[in-house]
Amino acid sequence: MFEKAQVLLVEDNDELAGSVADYLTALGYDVDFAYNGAAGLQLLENNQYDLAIFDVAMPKMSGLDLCRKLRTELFSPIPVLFLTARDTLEDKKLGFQAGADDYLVKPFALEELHLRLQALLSRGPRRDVGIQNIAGLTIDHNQSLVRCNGNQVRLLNLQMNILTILLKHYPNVVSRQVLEQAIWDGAPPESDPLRTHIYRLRSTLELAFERTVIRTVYAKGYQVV
Amino acid sequence: MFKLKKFNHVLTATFLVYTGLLCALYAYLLFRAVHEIEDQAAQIYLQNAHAEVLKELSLIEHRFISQDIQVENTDNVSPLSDAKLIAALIQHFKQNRPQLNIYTSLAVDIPAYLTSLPLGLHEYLPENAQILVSSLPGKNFTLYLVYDETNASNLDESIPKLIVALSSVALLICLLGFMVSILLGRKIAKPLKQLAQEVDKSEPLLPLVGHQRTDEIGTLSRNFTASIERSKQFLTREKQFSRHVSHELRTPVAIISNCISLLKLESASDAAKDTALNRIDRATSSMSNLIETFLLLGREQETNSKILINLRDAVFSELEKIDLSDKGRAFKPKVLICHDGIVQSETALLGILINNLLRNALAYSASVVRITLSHKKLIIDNDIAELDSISSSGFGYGTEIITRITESLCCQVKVDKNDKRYRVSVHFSD
Repeated sequence: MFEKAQVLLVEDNDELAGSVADYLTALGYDVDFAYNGAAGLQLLENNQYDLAIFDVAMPKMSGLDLCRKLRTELFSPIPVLFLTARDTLEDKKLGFQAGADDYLVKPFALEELHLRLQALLSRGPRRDVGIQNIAGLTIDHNQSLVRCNGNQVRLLNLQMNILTILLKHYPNVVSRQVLEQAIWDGAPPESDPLRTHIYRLRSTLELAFERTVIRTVYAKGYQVV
Repeated sequence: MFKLKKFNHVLTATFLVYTGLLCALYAYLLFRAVHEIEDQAAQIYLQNAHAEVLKELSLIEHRFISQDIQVENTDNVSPLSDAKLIAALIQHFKQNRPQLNIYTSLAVDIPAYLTSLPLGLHEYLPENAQILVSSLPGKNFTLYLVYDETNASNLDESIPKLIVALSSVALLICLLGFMVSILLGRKIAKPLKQLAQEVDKSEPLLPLVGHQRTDEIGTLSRNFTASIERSKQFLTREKQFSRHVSHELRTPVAIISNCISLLKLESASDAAKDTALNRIDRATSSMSNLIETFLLLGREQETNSKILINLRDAVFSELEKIDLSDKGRAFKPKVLICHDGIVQSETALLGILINNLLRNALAYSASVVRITLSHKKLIIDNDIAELDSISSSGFGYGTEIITRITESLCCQVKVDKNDKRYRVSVHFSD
């Protein structure tokens, strides 16, 4: 039993979401809600979940798009289960191709959902998600590891966040404002810690790989090279 | 015997009858032509004989006159009478033209049927005779030249042979016609048979065989192709609709099922169980509404089911049904209704349509839902709230069902939307 497992449920029908959440809560899960894909993505960016349950057809962003973004932009390996009325093989294929780990068609037995969640939680995060090869580097987002030419270095969480944002915009220059917005939600501490974090990140990577990885572009920002 | 249900058999039978009739007609015409030729020949014969009679008559007269001169010299006078002249003429022609009988109106042995004939050529069938009636110049009697056809030719004796010959030819032509009709029937029926076989298949390959032909079979093939395509499109549409109906029903069923599961859980709190019961209640109500809608859509449309409906009353009625308090939102949008309108429509389905449009507008509105009414149009216009704060509280129908409802009501729905506003216009047909 995985009590107090953190589960995100993204479902636009609040009655259905409520009924699932009440059941899972009664079984000991900690359930968080989002009523559309965009809100779900926001929650996934800002919180840590053990598992996510997505509906497919939702306003603003579909469950399929949300799952794709989760895998390819957030590099999140958390198990994803689709809970939907779409029951054709083609629908299921699309779900798994988007990065789902399981697919449950409505109407379903909540006991079955619970058993599937247990199975997914017992397997843990996916091993094949979270490895990114870019700019001559291999980034393991799951372990916060960066590899280059046979060498590897483990980064701190904040350093990893900065590198992820820089790589997201690679090969473009990323301004301080963008970085501050992404890391501190536009309200960085007054001590200007970004400069320090960038300096430490750059030093760590140069020391480990004996080459320049991040460079400062005067009056513009920072860039991975 | 032919089974005349088949196209090529009908064609063969028709062709056979036609050939038979054509042969009979040609045989009759040929038969008539032979007789006509025979008559013409007899008439020509009579005309030649007439000319010869005139010539011979002149010669006989001349001969008698010469004889009279000699007699005058010997004082033995014997005057030349018409009877004598005719007797000499008949005598002459009896030897040269045995089929020709010569009579005059003076003769006592003249057949009765001749006396009533006027001048000219005649045919007297009872006697099988061709007759030329003429008046001789300078003579006061009528000359009858009678050509007896009975023994003139062997034609009458050959009639049975002629009939047999003609019948044989006719039969041969009929046989040929029969064979040609079979071949022709098969040739014509072949593309039709192929087309029928193609159409008969469970999954015919489109376009059907013969669609490129310019004749009637091509037209038939193209029409069949178009018809099958229309049927396929209709079936696909119906399948999609059925699938959508199934999806729509699954959500309330899933909620009911989930709530029952929760009610069975011992660890569930009383508050959670109460919520579950309320959810079951709402889901059941929504499912009943859904089923009612599908039944209304599936029912045969009756023209007299449309009545005059006051749109303002209908909107108020549907607003009362929407529970705005259960939206989980911090505010309720204002509803403004402008003008008035009366339309002819079907009460239940129009109510469902208005309910869905209002429900969506109220769910997504940030502050105001403006409803504008007229006798032909219903416009629902709303601003859009931040999506993060919106959940779908009810069971608003999907696009497919709304489309089907508008089709059933014979009205058009137009949606204009941008990031800030959402506007739905329903145009009612006259």
